[in-house]
Amino acid sequence: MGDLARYRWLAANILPHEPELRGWLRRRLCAFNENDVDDLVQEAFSRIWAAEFGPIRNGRAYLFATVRHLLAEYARRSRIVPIELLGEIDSLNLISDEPGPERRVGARQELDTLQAIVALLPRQCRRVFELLKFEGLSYREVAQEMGLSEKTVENHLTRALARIGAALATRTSAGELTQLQSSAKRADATDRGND
Amino acid sequence: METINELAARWAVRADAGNLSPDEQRELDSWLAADSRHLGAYVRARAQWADLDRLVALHGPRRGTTNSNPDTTPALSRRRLLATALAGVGVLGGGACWTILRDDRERYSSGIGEVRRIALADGSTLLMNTNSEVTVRLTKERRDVRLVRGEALFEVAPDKSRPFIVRANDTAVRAVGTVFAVRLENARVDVTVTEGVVEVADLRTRSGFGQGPPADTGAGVKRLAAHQRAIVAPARPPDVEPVVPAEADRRLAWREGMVSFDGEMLQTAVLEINRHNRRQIVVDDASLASMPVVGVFRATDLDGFAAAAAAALNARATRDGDIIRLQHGPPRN
Repeated sequence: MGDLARYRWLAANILPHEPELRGWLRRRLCAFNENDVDDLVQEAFSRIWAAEFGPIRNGRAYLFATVRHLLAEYARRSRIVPIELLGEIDSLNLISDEPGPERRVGARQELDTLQAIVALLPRQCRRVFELLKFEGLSYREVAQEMGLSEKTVENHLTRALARIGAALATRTSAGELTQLQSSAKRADATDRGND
Repeated sequence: METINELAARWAVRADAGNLSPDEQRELDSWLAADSRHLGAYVRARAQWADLDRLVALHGPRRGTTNSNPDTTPALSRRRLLATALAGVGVLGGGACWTILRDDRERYSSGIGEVRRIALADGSTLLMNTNSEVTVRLTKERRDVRLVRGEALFEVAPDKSRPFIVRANDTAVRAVGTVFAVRLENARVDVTVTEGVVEVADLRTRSGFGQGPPADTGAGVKRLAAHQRAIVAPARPPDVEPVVPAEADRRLAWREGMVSFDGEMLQTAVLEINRHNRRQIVVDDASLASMPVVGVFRATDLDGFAAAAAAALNARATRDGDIIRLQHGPPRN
């Protein structure tokens, strides 16, 4: 699997579960501030990247198991994490052996969310993003078309990605956990139809 | 100051455009190797960026013919990442909470009421208590840390070839692989060891440690084992005393964002909780100030502490702007 394929795999199998993970961390670990949650998510992605993706059948279970390991390490080293929370990850029945991403909302619905997030970008930032991503222009072409320097184009794209990333990471609703458990049985095999 | 996620976003869009110069590629490699969180943030940002391609389907055919082909971007192979990580490159990019000084010391600080965890490139971790400041320099020979202000807990990654030395004022603490906290308060240095062994040198009487392993304790150097504590105060030789594990845990309750008291005078407890808050508690009455306080409190919950203390000590808490006054007398309301 090349790097681009690996990024796509992360996008399809791990990213969708990040909001749920963050929500859980925020709710359960009061001593964790937003920085700590960011740190933990970053560490988790770093660990997952080092893994062989082939045998991973359930991205969500894998993500939560990775975080559980990280929390256990934190706990061993400084006891910053109450141990009982580690058990809670398991007891939430978050780790199952069901294959495939079991929790994707419909592809169309997810695309709507993405579009809504993009629509909220500042006007110029959004235009740069759209020209590059949707129209397929190069940096130079975007810069020429909009009368900007290439550095500014890069700045706009950076801001776009940072904002979209943050928005994707936190889109979570209170009812999501329960919704998730009821839908856990349904494997949605068609949700990546737009790829 | 950009956060790790923002820096990662910048690298991700740059790398995706496929035109990193060799120098930029090296810079990216060192940044990724400097901290596992950088790598994690970067692959996450690349995944998010790739995920956005799904939107393209909704926008009809692209008009460009020169669109960047991400497959031509330099490969980020795991083997290569591992190699750069193992090379232990000490190069660091920007970060959420620290800046690089010209003398290549990294400077980290925590705000009032904040407890901050910093992962160092050598695998050590430092956890900073409220309103603290630390500078770090990692070289081949040593790991050099200065506690400029406040308090920090150090979890030292073992590395016999590079002693880990923390300086606070005129006190130096040397460790190889251990966990200990150093607190600097009014020129008094307080060292508490929870795991392993450290040596504490009083630099007023000694220039520092010898080059040997941490065993050459001479004049001015005290050896401190787990569950021991050393206090170095001005005009006094270092003083070593035992601390029971529960007491050490209690002293380090700030790791969980808490403060814990076990019979300290209200005055002492108030000083401690005030460290974590911009608003402050003032105790007006000397006899009230010497009453004992017991309990565990959230470090940033000033009002909760004041209310609990008032209830326990039959006192009254009054708001006065950013000050909460504790006075004798039954609570109003």
